[in-house]
Amino acid sequence: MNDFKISVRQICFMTIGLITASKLIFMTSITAEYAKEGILFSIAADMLVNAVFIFIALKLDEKFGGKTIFEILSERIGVPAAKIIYFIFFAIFFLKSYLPVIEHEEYIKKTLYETAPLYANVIPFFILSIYFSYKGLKGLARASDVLVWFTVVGSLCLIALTLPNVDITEFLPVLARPRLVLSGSLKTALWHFDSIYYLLLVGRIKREKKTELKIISAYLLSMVLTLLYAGATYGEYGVLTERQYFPPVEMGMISVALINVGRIDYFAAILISFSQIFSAALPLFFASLCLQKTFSFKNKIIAPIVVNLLSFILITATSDLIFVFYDLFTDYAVYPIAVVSFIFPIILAFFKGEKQIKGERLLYE
Amino acid sequence: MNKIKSKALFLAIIGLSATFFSNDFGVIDIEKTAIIVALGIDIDESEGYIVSTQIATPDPASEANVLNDQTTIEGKGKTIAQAVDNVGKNTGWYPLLTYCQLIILGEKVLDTDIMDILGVFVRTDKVPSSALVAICEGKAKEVLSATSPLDSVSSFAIEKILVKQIAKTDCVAMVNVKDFACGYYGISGFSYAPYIKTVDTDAKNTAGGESEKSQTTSLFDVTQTCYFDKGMSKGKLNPSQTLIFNILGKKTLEAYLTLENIEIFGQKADATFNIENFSSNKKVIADENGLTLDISLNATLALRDANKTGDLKSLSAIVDIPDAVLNAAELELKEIIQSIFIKTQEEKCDVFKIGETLFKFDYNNYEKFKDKIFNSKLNLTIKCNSVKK
Amino acid sequence: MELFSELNLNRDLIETKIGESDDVVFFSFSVAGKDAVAIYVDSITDKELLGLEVLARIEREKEISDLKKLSEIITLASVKIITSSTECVKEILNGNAVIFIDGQTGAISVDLKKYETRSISEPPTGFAIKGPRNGFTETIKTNLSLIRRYLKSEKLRIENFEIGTITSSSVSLLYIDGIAKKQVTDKIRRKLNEIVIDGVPDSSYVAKFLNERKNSLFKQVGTTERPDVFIERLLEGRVGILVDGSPFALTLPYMLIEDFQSAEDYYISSFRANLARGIRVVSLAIAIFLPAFFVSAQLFHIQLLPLNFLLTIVNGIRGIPLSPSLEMFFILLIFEILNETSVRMPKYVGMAIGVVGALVLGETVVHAGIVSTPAVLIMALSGICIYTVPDIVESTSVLRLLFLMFAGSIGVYGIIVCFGIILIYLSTIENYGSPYLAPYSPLISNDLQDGITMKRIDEMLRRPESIGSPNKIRSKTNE
Repeated sequence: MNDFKISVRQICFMTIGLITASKLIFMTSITAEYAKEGILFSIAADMLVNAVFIFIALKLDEKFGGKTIFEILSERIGVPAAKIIYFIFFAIFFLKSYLPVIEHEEYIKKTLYETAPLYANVIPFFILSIYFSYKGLKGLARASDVLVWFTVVGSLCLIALTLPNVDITEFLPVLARPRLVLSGSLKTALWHFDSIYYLLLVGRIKREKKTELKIISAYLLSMVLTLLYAGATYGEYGVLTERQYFPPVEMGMISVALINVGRIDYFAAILISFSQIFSAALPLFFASLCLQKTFSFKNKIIAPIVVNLLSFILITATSDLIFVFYDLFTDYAVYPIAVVSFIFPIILAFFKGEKQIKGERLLYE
Repeated sequence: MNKIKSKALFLAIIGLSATFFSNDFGVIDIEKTAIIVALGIDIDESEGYIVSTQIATPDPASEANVLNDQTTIEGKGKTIAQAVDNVGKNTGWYPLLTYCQLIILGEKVLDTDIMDILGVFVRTDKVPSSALVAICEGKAKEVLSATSPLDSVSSFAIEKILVKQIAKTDCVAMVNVKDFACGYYGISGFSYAPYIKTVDTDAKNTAGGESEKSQTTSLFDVTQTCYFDKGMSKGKLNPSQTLIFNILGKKTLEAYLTLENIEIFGQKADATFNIENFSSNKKVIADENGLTLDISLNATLALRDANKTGDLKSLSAIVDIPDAVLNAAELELKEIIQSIFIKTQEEKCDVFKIGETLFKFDYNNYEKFKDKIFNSKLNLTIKCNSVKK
Repeated sequence: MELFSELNLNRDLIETKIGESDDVVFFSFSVAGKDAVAIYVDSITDKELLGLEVLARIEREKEISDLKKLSEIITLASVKIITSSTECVKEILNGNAVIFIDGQTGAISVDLKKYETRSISEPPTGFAIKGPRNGFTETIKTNLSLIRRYLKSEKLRIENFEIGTITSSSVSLLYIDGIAKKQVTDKIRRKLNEIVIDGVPDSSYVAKFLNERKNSLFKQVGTTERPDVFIERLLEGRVGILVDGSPFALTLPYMLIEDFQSAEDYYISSFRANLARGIRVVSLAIAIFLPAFFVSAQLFHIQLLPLNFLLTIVNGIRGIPLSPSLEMFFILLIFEILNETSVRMPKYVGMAIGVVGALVLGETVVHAGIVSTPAVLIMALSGICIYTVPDIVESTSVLRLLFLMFAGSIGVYGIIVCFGIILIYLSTIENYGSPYLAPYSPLISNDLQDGITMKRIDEMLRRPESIGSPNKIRSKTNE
């Protein structure tokens, strides 16, 4: 697991498959609530800022010659300090995981079941998450190769179903209320701290020609897909978008309402749900990676179990206070995550770099 | 390690089998589910809401899955949700609203804010927001209980009219919960819903054992449209107004316009024209004179039918329509639009979405003029062409 | 133990070792005035050849100087002198005749094997309308001859092993030097040498030892009965294994996509082949997921069903005592029982079972109100679809049950999670260095030429990268 290097293609697929899937549930409605007709600008602004920091992370990978953040820190400030920083990373990823997990649970509970007990969807999710984390980067990389198609096909199907009902005048007036755009960006920032994932991939990337260009292009493609998706939802639901918390099962509903084949849009929603499980497990995956680095457990399964158990306890304990915790996270968790996502890489950029050690090219990853 | 794995696997299989074979954790049994295909909502001053649910029950005698004669069950409550729940309580069935595609509101709801009723369907995901909404003459329950020659289930008959008409002739202003709510919460606060009038047809004789039973079948006229400002009813559009309201701002497929007493084939006649290549443009101009709604229409007319015929050429599919007739058509369209405009301005209902158009296309003037929407002027430019020219 | 020069002692020695079997013949005769005995197994030795070509010639000799000279008068191909009793027994049991002559230390072994073998015929599995009609038989020599006949290359390497402490079954490792990856051949060779078992009646025994994950549900060694497929896989860089007594040849490394590639795909138009492969994938998805989705839709997600179909179901399940999940489980059970019975039963009874199962049981359970018509339809469809990819039925039938259990327990979400876990598992495992889900996870663009969609043969210029052959170029385009 430690020596596994993820290929540029797999990072691109992870970006399009998993990062996009993390923005397909609550994000659209909450952005619409604050940004109104400026929803697209709001999302684009958030994602463009992240694109810059992803670029910085990729440059760090080049600068430090294939060393991981942990190795860079260990060599410069010592192993104990590096472990402390990795523990902070663990805490950040754990914080970041709350929203995707709770969002995923709510989505499954509300859309796939008429009635179902909580444990029915919580437990299977954490079992998958533990196994996903246990399999390490190789699992993430290889799963991304498959998941990308689920996200792309699922979301494009939903967008296509929505198109006949889209009213593009819903996006007018353009940028007449920039404050709303800004407010939308800030309120939904928690959904867009994507650059932090790439920080953990520093030193694990099998570099090739134009690595940065390819990955940034993938992120921009993910942004386009997200914008199309959010745009289709807002274009269809207009002012009502802010209460369309579960667009995958709501977007296509109008088009298929009066046809005999029934809710075929659900199949696209199920495809998205599949990628969505992995994208909700992604922060827990990285949290496990950091915890493993911090405590160097002999058995690799311990870190994933600890992380997921903690998350399980948090989720079940707050199931009655979901909105209180939700507000708490969106209002306060944003700051520490922003610091680690944006300030940490800038500090790291001032460290002296190293020569790139070129590895042997493998035929496949 | 392998032993632990084997034990874990064994336990997982036991756990999975236990949940599979017990499988009773709030699961709804289809057989005990009332599949509601339509809701009728009436208001009773003393009892609150009366919700009539039309339930799909298959005909056990039939090999094909045709619906049994419609089952309409009533529930009462202070809120819609309570009334629906009461349907379940009274019958012992779980009311499943996922398949509900039609909500009919009795005439009495016109006295209240419609969103008070429809709110529940927007708020919860139990009813699809794609469900069609219609207001009916009299009580909703009576409409749902009516027997239609179009379908054994009245709600399916109404759905057929609402959906098929909209695709063809634009005579019916179809609206669903989502569109109604979007209009309600939109800048203009305007929303609409078709108005169903039940038209009794001749009595149908059905064999009923030794004696013949007489049963009245009903047709549904849905060509009128109720319009609302912030959910409050402001009035109705008549069939010709509904047609123009429908086709303004979009491409129409097969709308018809009938002109009476016009000069065609050298004689006075009544004629029906297809409106082809219809295009309209609507803009709001804000200047020192206030707001002006500028509507320009272009339509190509093709003669469909007349109650008089001329020579053989007059039966051609493409008949040259005289300018006088085209002028008469322009005048007719103008009068209809003006009538809607004047009526709705007086009633302070923004049917033409002047406020919303101003907000979207001229935001800077919106704040300044938003209170002057109902003092707007109308500027109409209508041009009708003959299909042959 | 070394052989003696006295005939009686040698005879006693062999008798002690294998003489209690009645089919072992001790045929006494004399050569140049000395007593001699020929020992052979009646059922596997060519007695006619022994009499005419061996004994008749030896008996004509007037003098015996030594066994070597005597053996030279036998004009058969494989004649050798053996000196140990163990070797002697082995030769006899292999179908050879061993001749002892009094006063001579050692014995002459003459290869006179004559087995009753099945003739080469069309294989019952991997059937192709277009393409070669021959299949492997149970005889390794016949199988090797088939390979040699169609693969006339000096690079073809065949290494023989004897596996089975009691059966001493012949096992051959085949590969094309320079095309097969050395690490893979070394690893397989090592594993074959490490096998310790009393006997290998079939190649599947060897396959179990070659599996890299012993407890995996999924197949890990490729199998085929067709020499053309076997050769094709060798040409791709795989390593083949033939086991005496089994018509199923093994190939390694194995990837899941292999079983979606039928032999015929390469002989017919690529359009039809692509369509067929698409159908196989869709059918397999239907086979595994349809019963599960049907049950979960009834239990948890009624909205997934179109209204008319829902009403059909409601009509169908009226009065049925079982819940949807138990109903489907019950039908699956009946289906598996019928399947098992029809495979095990003698052919003529099997026909009757088919009728009883399909007509009597199927019709009656529906009419008796034990199960509903839609459920029977769903399971029947699944049952047919699962055999579009017959080589992995062992895994897919278990998966179908697993998904059904998840669906019956927690609905579609259970199916999704279960599929997710299987995806992570399959995408991370490697089989002799080749990713199991290649060319899709990891995505290997070159190998997509022969994936769920395939290119024309003349467009497949390179060998699959996932196998890691050192010789990458397979063909050169003329254009």
